[in-house]
Amino acid sequence: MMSSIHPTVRLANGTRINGLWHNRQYHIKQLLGEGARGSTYLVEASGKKMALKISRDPSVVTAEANILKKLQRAQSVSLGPSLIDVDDGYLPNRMKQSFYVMEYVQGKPMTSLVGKLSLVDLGRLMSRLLSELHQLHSMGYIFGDLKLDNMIFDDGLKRIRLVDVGGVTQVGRGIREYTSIYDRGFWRLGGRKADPTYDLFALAICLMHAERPLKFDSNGQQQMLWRFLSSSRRITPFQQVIKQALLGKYRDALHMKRDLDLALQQLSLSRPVQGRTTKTNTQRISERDLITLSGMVAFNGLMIYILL
Amino acid sequence: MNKGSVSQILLITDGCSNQGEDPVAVSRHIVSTGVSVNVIGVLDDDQTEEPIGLREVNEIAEAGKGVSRIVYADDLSETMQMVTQQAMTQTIQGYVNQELKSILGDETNEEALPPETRGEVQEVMEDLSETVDLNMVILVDTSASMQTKMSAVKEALDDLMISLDARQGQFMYTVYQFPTRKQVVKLLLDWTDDGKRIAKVFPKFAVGGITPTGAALREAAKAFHISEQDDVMRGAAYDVIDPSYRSSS
Ligand SMILES: Nc1ncnc2c1ncn2[C@@H]1O[C@H](COP(=O)(O)OP(=O)(O)OP(=O)(O)O)[C@@H](O)[C@H]1O
Ligand SMILES: [Mg+2]
Repeated sequence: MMSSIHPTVRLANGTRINGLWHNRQYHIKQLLGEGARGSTYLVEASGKKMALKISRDPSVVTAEANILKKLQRAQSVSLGPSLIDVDDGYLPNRMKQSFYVMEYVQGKPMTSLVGKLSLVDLGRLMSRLLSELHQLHSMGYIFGDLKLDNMIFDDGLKRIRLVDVGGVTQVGRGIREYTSIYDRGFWRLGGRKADPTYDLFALAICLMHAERPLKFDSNGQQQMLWRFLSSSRRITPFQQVIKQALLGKYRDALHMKRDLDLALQQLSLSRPVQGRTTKTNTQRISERDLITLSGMVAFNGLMIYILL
Repeated sequence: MNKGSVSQILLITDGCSNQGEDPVAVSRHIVSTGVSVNVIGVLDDDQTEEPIGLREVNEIAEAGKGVSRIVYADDLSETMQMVTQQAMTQTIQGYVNQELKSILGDETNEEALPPETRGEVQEVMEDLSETVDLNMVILVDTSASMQTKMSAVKEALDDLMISLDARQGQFMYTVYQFPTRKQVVKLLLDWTDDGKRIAKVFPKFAVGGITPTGAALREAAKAFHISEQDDVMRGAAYDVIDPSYRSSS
């Protein structure tokens, strides 16, 4: 790794890359996305569509391929894409670069679906995702960089798949890849030591996006989160679940799933009856609750500190 | 078991006090004692080009075998975390590559290995960078031009502590400011492992005259050799990562 490199690799459509160790050829079709750790392309090999991730930083390729291998070995359902190949190849500019090839997840990005899906459909997808996260957590890993940008609604399997495993972290270790608004450390609502509640916090932020995209100023003011939640309209039925997850109250993914399922049940029960006011646990959080809330300091011993 | 340690300086500056002693030469000297020098250059919101003073930021870090970034104040939090982490990885990579050479012959580095073996080497490196102890001198430029950026610097350092507290390895840090009226640098917080204490040193920052960055770096680097941590730090200076780590794990 060098000090000031940009990890993305630009490749023209139609470029062919030959693997030096395993002798497979990949045909670049289209850029899928690029970010802080490299570029991902749609490629074709032996008539099949696949996704290829390439980075100027070879340790990114090695690290992510390692994680995909581990996930594959231990999981019954595939949460992430399956790993196909890891190799080096010469680019048209004669530079040698590392890359890995994985299953291409065909579907729609959750960033655009989150505002369009009905609350019931969104809730069901997230409930399913929670079971799968629980599996990952039971293996001793958390996803880390859990966010809508890394979720694809798989058209074939009709469920959410997670891409970009760069943030997957062993429980008990420090999280290095995260995105500010999904990160409890940024909001000063907890630390960055990996534990299941870290993912649940991020999942709650994903649910909040169903209201509208979260905007924030440079430093996370947690009152902003509580205000957003209390003034929300669309996600009102999930308010309690979201709040508990933000506060780190759910011991594991299954506990959060249980509450989300309950909220879903009530939602489908109350739906046919128009205009009825239900004062159950789905009612809005009052302003007074919020003041007490932001004053709460002692929970779970997980928190580092709160800035008020 | 001694897991070894990594020593870093993190310099935060807007380049407006770069005068006098050549900071690049100082940085080159510091790295010879086993300490890497990382630099973050902070831009004003309305600056669209890198000012002349900031050009040295990259050179200082390069000479100091460290990492550098030039960013707007708003992006400081993410950057500090990344720079610190990358610098640590870089040090460990350097060490591991050296080990590989001694095992596999002169021309070997990690990239010459087949992808499968590389995966195993990567795991060793990840283990190391999670568990080594980290000792960091934070040196903050508090010249008058930095005043408007101070709250962003505070936020970012606060945030950095959250990341470093989460690691398994021990973490110690100390904070210096420059310039000050009477001294080249001023100690604001002595070696500590308590991340929360950084928030409390900020009100103490006072803006002063012009002092060379080079001299400030030289003075701050002495922190690795004074204090009760003396033995540990000296050890770190001559042997960045203790080779006994792997044999005892
Ligand atoms: N296996 C895949 N199948 C389909 N699309 C994918 C796949 N992997 C990645 N993508 C798409 O490419 C985008 C970028 O890929 P990826 O997240 O790996 O890049 P990145 O460099 O890690 O970006 P960032 O650092 O911003 O997260 C993803 O957001 C996703 O839309
Ligand atoms: Mg991504």
